Amino acid sequence: MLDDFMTRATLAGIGVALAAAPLGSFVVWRRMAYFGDATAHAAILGVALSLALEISIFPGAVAIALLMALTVSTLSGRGYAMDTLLGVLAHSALAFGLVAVSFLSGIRIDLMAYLFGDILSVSRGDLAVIWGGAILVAGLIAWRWSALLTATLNEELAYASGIDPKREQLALTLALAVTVAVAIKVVGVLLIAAMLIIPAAAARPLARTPEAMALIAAGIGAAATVIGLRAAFVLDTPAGPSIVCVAALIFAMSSVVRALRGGLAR
Amino acid sequence: MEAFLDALTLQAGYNAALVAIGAALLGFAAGTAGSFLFLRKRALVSDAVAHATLPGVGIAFLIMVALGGEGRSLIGLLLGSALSAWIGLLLVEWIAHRTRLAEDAAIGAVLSVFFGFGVVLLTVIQTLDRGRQAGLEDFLLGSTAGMLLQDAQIIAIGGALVVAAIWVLRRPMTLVSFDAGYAAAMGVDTRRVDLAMMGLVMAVTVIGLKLVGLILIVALLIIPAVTARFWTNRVERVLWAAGAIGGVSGYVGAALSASAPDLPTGPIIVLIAAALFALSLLLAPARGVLAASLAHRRFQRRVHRRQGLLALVRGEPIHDPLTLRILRAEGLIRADGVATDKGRAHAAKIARDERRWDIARRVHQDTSLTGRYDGLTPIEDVFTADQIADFDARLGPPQPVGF
Repeated sequence: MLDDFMTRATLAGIGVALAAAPLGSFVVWRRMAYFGDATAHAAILGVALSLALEISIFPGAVAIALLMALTVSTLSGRGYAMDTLLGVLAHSALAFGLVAVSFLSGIRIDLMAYLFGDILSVSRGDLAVIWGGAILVAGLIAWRWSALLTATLNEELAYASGIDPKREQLALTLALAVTVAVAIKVVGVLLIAAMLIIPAAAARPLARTPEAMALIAAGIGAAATVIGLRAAFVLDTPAGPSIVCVAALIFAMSSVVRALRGGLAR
Repeated sequence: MEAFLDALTLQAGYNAALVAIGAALLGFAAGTAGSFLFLRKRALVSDAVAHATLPGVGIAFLIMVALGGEGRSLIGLLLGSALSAWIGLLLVEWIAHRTRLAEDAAIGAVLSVFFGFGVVLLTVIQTLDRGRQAGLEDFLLGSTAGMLLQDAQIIAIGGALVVAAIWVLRRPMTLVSFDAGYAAAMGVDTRRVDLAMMGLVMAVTVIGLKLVGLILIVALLIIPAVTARFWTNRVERVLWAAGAIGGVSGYVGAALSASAPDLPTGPIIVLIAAALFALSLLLAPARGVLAASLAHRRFQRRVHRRQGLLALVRGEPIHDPLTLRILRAEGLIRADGVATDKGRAHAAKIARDERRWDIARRVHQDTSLTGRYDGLTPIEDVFTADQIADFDARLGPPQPVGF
């Protein structure tokens, strides 16, 4: 069954969607959208280093993404504005990665694959890494779910219940780094933020509880993957961006549903 | 190296010189426009604007091909990109105001959707057999290789126009970005100024598309402003310093990339700006990491010195190794920990000032003066000699301290 490249691509996309949905919900609730984007941008530096050292891109991307996320977490407590700091660090890392790649000969064409994803060339090994990472992230979030939720809702409440918000933030950072690394192959560095934010944002008007929002977001992400891949196959468009476009359409539809419901309620 | 020096001194050909000047002007415009954004705390909106230009490029190309051209006119492509950037900007505002999503999620959603759609369009264009599509992907990361003379002229003229516009609008924009409420009270229409600000940012983005590329143009808007902020607290100076930093980055980056054809222009320019940022982060006076850690060390030494002297006054043993080291280094105690004459004198002075402060806080009602008691500020810096003489009169006769 895994011999067909479309099957492998679909499975890889669903794996990423399942990991990204619950994490993306937290990203939306905690207003970390730009944090996710910046971590993803920095990952290209990890890819460049991995290519230079001729190792698998996964550990390199995880390491740089983690480093970036931890740097930002440390610096943010020191009076520098968080969002501008993210912008500066992310784009510097991205520029550094791009220049580093241009020094390595012969991988110019490959670069586009890492920027926009190359889901159709997912191998069995990649599939194992993606699902392994996805299960790790989903497991981590399921394990810390109530603590994470409390820390997101109200930090004082979290302290009172014996939860350390800093530790929960660290768990999310770790999950983010792993998600970014496994999603590179599927949607590419530049569109990972879309996989995080858009399904969660689309699920928001449809859900009544946090758990429902994460589940619906996972469903939307998986649906966008399947439909987007199908569309890419039929229309001969790039797979990663097509998936994002479908997710955007679902977001637009959910906004319409919300608007209609709001109209009825009034 | 020689090629780089040639490019740096504008000797590497007319085109390269024009590109370098254009990049310097663009960098200057981006730095100043970015400072307004940064001060107004809307720096990240520009990220959405930049990514939203891509579908416009694709659609403009398709329209120009459909009209029978070859679809390569830079002006046409830039007009298209400006239009779709404007739509993206309106969408961000709409989502942030009309739904429950926060602005950052709105920016992220608009950015990735427009960008994804743009990439799909570019791929579709690549498969067309009409028009000359080669070079469209240069809009992603920027490239000076194969730039036409006309393109370089557009960039240079556009950059100059934006700089001029910033010069004309600098006063109202400074006012609004510094304190919007005050500006509104002064009768400035903040909405229109904000609009003009976003218009300038859009102009920088669109002009910079060909040179820096849409992925990294944001960096050229943000980094110079953040870097300049390390060096000064005055709005005007932040503006011009950011402009200078952006201009230097643009000029040197363009020259570097012209001298080595394999280096992508946009990332090189951003990298130079990032290097300036890293230097400022480390070395800037007052706000830099180095200065902050030095100030912290100085403060730590003063506290330890004072605590050591107070311990001498009370005749308590000192155990802290840093305190011992500081006191020994200043010759206040001997190697075996016994106070020297000098140490005794300093300790007596500190003990006396401590009692003066006690009196001062009891008799003086002016808390803005007594509030400055932190144990480190010398009392002579706060009160006049007459006042201190008055405190001394209330102190009573000198008492022995425990040595």
